[in-house]
Amino acid sequence: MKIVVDTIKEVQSRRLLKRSFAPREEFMNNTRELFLAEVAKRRVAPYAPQLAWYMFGMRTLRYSIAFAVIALVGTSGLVAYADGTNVAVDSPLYSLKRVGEQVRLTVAPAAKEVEVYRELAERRANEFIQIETKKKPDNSDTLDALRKLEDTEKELRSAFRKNIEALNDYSDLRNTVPATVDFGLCQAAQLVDRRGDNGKSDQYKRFEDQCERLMGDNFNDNRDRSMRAGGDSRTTSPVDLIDDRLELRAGAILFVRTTVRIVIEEGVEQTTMMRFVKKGIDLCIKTHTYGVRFVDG
Amino acid sequence: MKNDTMNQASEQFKTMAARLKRGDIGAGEEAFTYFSPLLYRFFLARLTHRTIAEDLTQDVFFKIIAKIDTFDEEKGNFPGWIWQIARNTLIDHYRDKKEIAFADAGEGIEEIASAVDDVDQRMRVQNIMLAVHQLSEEEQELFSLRYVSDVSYKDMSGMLGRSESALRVAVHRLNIKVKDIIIES
Repeated sequence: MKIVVDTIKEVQSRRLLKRSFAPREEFMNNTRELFLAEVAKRRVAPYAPQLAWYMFGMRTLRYSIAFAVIALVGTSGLVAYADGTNVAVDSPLYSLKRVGEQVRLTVAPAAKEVEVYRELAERRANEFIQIETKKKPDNSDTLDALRKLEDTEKELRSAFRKNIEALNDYSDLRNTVPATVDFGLCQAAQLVDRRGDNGKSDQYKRFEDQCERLMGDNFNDNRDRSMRAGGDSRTTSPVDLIDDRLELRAGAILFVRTTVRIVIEEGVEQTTMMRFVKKGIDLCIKTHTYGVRFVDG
Repeated sequence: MKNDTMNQASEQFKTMAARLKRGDIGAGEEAFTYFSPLLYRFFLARLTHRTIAEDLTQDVFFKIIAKIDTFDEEKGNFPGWIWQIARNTLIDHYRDKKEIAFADAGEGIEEIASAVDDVDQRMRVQNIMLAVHQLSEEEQELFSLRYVSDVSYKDMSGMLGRSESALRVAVHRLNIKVKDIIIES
């Protein structure tokens, strides 16, 4: 019986405690409203990202429009500039010029259309000329080389003509063997020298001096070497009167007092440099592809 | 049968949390109606001060809605999560206002008891509460949770970090003490 009473008393006490711990109604209502208001704010939240995207889209659209306007204005300006100044064909603005021309054609009144066409045709023709003028031929180097070759040949011919005429004035060289032999110009002096010092004319001595000056010691050394070797004035081969500085390898030279014919032959490789000395005239002709042969006319 | 009921309740709370996240006012209404008296009684039993209990209860609801996105309804226990918030709120309050709460304890009990019209019953409530306040802090907490707020062992376990079996033993011992207090009162 006591247990039952105690249990009842316990249950009653628990209920009593809970009743006395009950919250005030006013507090509950206020707090509920506040809480539900906070919950309701979240209901908007899922839409917030969409709103943000919408705002982002609007912002992007605004910037895009602004950019497009700026680009349009800028491009229009460039087109007007390119068309107005008639830029060249190779200009980066050339395509814009063509656009400007198309626009002009489109907006031109019927009365002016022919005039615009004519102007544009003139432009195209001028552009074609510009292109042709600027076009560089592929064989320009070859042409230059050939031109240079021709000039050299002319120069060579002229020089020989002058010098042969001068050579022909050598009266002292009249006893020179009239045969075709290979020797250099300075060898001619050697031949003449064989006649003995007494036979030298002043003119010849000057010639010899010139040779000596040009070839230095080599002249006398070579001459002496040629003599020791029993060199014959008549048959003197083109012995080396050549030193490192000066390759004197004339082709066949014939001194004929009266008639001399100059033949310039291609492909005589040995001649690289010749020196003609006459009456104080020191003429050096350098050639790689032309030899010289004086033959009896 | 009991397990089915518990699973059903668990599903309902899961749904309630998910709906709250979406800003469902109906879910808010349900949550408030269910939890507000329990939370209020818990705070009042611990603090014996109606105004502070109201403030803390309100705080808990604001925190619930502010932190609802951090709650994973697939992994967590929604009532347990709410009780954890309530306990942390109480700890924060103790940290800030501990002296005031204890100073007002006697007057608070009297004020709580005044909610009952009958004088005998009022005296009985006062006696019970005064006796409860003589218990240890841990026992007072268990009393407020189990006797006043009817918090389940599962939620208490999540809230206090103790196993359900340990809590059952502790509550059983508390029952004996409280029974004596109630019968004597």
